[in-house]
Amino acid sequence: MVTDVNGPGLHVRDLSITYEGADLLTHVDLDVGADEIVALLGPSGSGKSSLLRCIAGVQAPQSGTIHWGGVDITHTPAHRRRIGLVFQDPLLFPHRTVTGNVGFGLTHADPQRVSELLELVGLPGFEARDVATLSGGEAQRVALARALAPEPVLLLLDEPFGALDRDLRDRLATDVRNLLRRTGTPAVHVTHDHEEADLVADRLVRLATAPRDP
Amino acid sequence: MKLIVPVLISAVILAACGGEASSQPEGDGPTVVRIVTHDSFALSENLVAEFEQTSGIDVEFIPAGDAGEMVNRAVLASGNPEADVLFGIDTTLVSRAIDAEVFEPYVSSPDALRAELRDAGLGVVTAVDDGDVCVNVDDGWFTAEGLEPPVTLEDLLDPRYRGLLVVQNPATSSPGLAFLLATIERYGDAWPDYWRQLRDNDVVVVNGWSEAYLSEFTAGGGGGDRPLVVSYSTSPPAEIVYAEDPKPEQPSTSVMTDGCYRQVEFAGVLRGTRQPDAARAVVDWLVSAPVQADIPLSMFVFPAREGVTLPEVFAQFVTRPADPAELPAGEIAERRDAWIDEWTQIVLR
Amino acid sequence: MSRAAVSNTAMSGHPSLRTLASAVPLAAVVAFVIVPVIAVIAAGVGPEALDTLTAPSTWRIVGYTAGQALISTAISVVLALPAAYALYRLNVRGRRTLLAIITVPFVLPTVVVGLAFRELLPFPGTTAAIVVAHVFFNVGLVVRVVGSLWGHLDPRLVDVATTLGLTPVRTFTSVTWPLLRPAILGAAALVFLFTFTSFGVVLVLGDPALPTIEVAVYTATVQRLDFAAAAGLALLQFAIVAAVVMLSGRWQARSATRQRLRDDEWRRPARGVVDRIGIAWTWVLALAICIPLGALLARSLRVGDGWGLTWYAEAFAPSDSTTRTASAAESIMLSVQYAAAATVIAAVMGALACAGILAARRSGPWIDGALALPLGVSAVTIGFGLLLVSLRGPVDMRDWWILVPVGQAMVAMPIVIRVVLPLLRSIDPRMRHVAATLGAPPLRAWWATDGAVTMRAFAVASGLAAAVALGEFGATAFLVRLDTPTVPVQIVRLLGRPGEGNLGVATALAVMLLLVTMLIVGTAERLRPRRGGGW
Repeated sequence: MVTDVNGPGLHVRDLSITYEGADLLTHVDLDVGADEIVALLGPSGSGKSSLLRCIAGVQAPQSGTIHWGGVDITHTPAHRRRIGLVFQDPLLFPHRTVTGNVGFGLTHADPQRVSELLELVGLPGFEARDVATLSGGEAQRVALARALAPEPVLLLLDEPFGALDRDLRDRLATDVRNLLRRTGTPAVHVTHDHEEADLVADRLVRLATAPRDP
Repeated sequence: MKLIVPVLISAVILAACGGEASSQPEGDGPTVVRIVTHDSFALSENLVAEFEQTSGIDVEFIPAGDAGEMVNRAVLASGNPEADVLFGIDTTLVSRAIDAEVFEPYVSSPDALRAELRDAGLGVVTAVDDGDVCVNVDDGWFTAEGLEPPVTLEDLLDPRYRGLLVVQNPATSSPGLAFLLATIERYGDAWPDYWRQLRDNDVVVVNGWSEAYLSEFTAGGGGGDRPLVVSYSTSPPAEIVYAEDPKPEQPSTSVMTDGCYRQVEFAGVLRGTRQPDAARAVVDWLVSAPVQADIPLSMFVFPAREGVTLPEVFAQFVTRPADPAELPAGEIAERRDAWIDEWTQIVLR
Repeated sequence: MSRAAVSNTAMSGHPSLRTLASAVPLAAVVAFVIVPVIAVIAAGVGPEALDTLTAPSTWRIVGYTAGQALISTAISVVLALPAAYALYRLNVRGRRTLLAIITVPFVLPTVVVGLAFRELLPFPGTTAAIVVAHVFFNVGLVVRVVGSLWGHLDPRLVDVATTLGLTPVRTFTSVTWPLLRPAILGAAALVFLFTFTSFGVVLVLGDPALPTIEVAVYTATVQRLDFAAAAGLALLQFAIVAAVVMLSGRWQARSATRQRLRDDEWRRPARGVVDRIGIAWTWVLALAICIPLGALLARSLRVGDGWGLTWYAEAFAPSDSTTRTASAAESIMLSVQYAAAATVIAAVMGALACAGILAARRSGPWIDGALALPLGVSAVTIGFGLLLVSLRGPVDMRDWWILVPVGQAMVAMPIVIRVVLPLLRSIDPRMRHVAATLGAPPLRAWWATDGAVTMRAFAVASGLAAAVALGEFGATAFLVRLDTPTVPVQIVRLLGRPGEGNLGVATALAVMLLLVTMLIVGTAERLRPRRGGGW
């Protein structure tokens, strides 16, 4: 894994995030290789979500830089970063069907790709379903498919299985890992569960005060 | 905090109950006779006080808007009146009210009235005063402009007088309707043409007398720009009476005696009143000598009673038209609405 | 961890009793709204009524009324949206004050606002003037209704769209707009209805040659006693209102989605040009709203060429002993008394109605709609109808002091229901269960959970109802006895008599009415609970 900011992969340097005036994270450095899945561990409230949001571009950090593939994307608007984000809540668009959700990020309607993705996440035939009828696990899988559809260069997952029960969590964790490997998508997977982290990631990073590479 | 709301509500309810009690006049005190009138009503206060003392009847005047509104309310409430006496209904409206059985027939002291007015109330209401609705002319303005003022109805169509006349809407105004009736009497079925030409000559229409005289008329004190207005033959002396000292020798306005319409104003006892005797006594009082002598300077109309001396300023400056227009009450009753509708179509659309 | 419950199922302890509760307000609506409407129609039905319906002038009036209502609605919505965004999505300094300013016009007396604009605008007596006044009234309504929903939309949905690559514009059109649509449509429908049946504003501020349906009904009855025309127009108006209500209801149902609404309103700090424009827009809007009110106040203090309190003094002067017209002080006292009674009636009826609606799970929406009818029936029709019923029916209600408050309460009741119902619906019944398991007896449990919220909801609703009753004009004009006018009626009477004195006293009265209304509404708003959307 390369630590040069100009090299491939994600390089976060000296990132500081404040929330309501108080420091949440200070001087964070993080490197993620272009082909690896990193688990980010840390207790609740330690700012993991904010970190992901800054990387995705939907929140602005106080200071610091973010590079991807050698390009400084610190000030690039989120919709141009091609970095996907999956939340703990599936946050499916209630006014659209499963297909409508999965295909949302595609520039042209592509029913074939949607079906492919649904197969990948283990929900074949769910195309026309009303999202309100899905179970928690199903909804989360649709969210995953949706995030993968526009072929993001990096996927961020913010405790995506937090609301699900143990067995489902383990199953999905394995599925996600295989999915990411198959699509060749690097990822940062935030969780507070050590076991889940082990199942999903290549490497563990702990977020305490100033995480450095081991 | 939680207590404030219930306390507020209770306070307000208590206030409300207090209000309710006070708004019910019951017959324990002196008899109260309520007279509904139009907004132009006025009488000297000492007269009212005198009457109240001598008769033991308390009189309450209730202004009800312009004459048309007042009569309509009475018609709506026929048999179930809001007052005991109605004063201020004129010849153009009286037939509508009589047809709707608004009044309990009572004519007070007919022999004391001027001969021509004795039967004017059709045996149902009593004539209290009369007046003439005429076009008033601001002589001062015309002199300044070096223009001869118009003399006949026909003259008003002359392009020389374009944009100089303000009239009232006959649907809402009593003098407005009177003027319309004068033109109908003059031109018969050709009256719509007259009004078309009047409209083309840039006549302006407002809703009521006050707006026309006080706001639009050049000599009305309201900064208006129209030197010709439909008003009363008594407006010139009124001008002197209301002028500041030193009073002018002559009025600066005069009256176009052609195209005048004679209007009689009546008072009547409302059908269904709970104190008919007291109501009749009030009507008697309205045509009594003291009140009739007061009427000219209070309301600028002529007393209906025979033999009342007119004030100096009236005798000097009023020209009563010799031959004012008058249409039969029955015809007015029948065709009034249709005339007003047609007039509206021609002039306001 | 409360959820937006659709129906408060735990309340159906005694279903028959609860459903019966809505019978009382329903009966009131029938007696004091439906019956008068029937009286108006009966008074005019006949061949002449058909003439009215086919006369071209009638359709001109209808077209004009609808046209000005549509324009007013469109402008209100457009002006309101940026403000709704700024006030409900962003952390804006002075947010509560701005919101209060923008929404206060809605409850102001129509006559007062009409007068304020008449004195302010260089173009009174035109359609443009009416539209301006209508927008003034209704912008706040749209901001409130749309903003409430917007504030509860999960902002992370926007984040999702952004990370999926959508530009901000496309995010708005693909995510925000479809989710906002039900609220926007609902608000637009309400604004259309209010402007369609608008009376006080059009009477004071409109072009006399261009009446709206409501004004035409009024002039037909008061000036011409033309019941046929009045009935025909009233019927047409009612039909159009009913159609709009039905259509908008369907539209809303179709575009509504079962949304996951957040329980709290999460606002973020402003960033970027769009946010700043929204905030600036809001400030401008608030300032624009203050101007007519300030102008009215200034006008009331202007005496001749100078300034002074003359008009206020004259307003309180004892009434002329000959004419005995009510002095301003008497009108104010009377208005307050009427409003108080009307508020109590509206609050009690509203409470019963809410209980009934919540208990009747299936027919709830129907009851709600039926009780909202008075909103759509014009105030003039209600007033005139009640008058007719009094004059021709078995009972002469005109002597009943309570008649005016009843008329006003009918107009205010839907507002009470609109405010309280969503708040009641948002109460999670499980909270009560929790209280019960902690040992609280039923009444205490209810009070601890629902009670406080309910009481405050009613306080807010009562404040609004009082404001509505105070400023009510259309129905009251018919129902007051000649010598006991309410303040709005008094103001219009004074305006009908030209002369600086009358205008001056009218403006003084208007300012006083304005201040009392704002005081009442301000107090009520302070009691508004922080959560629980709705109106």
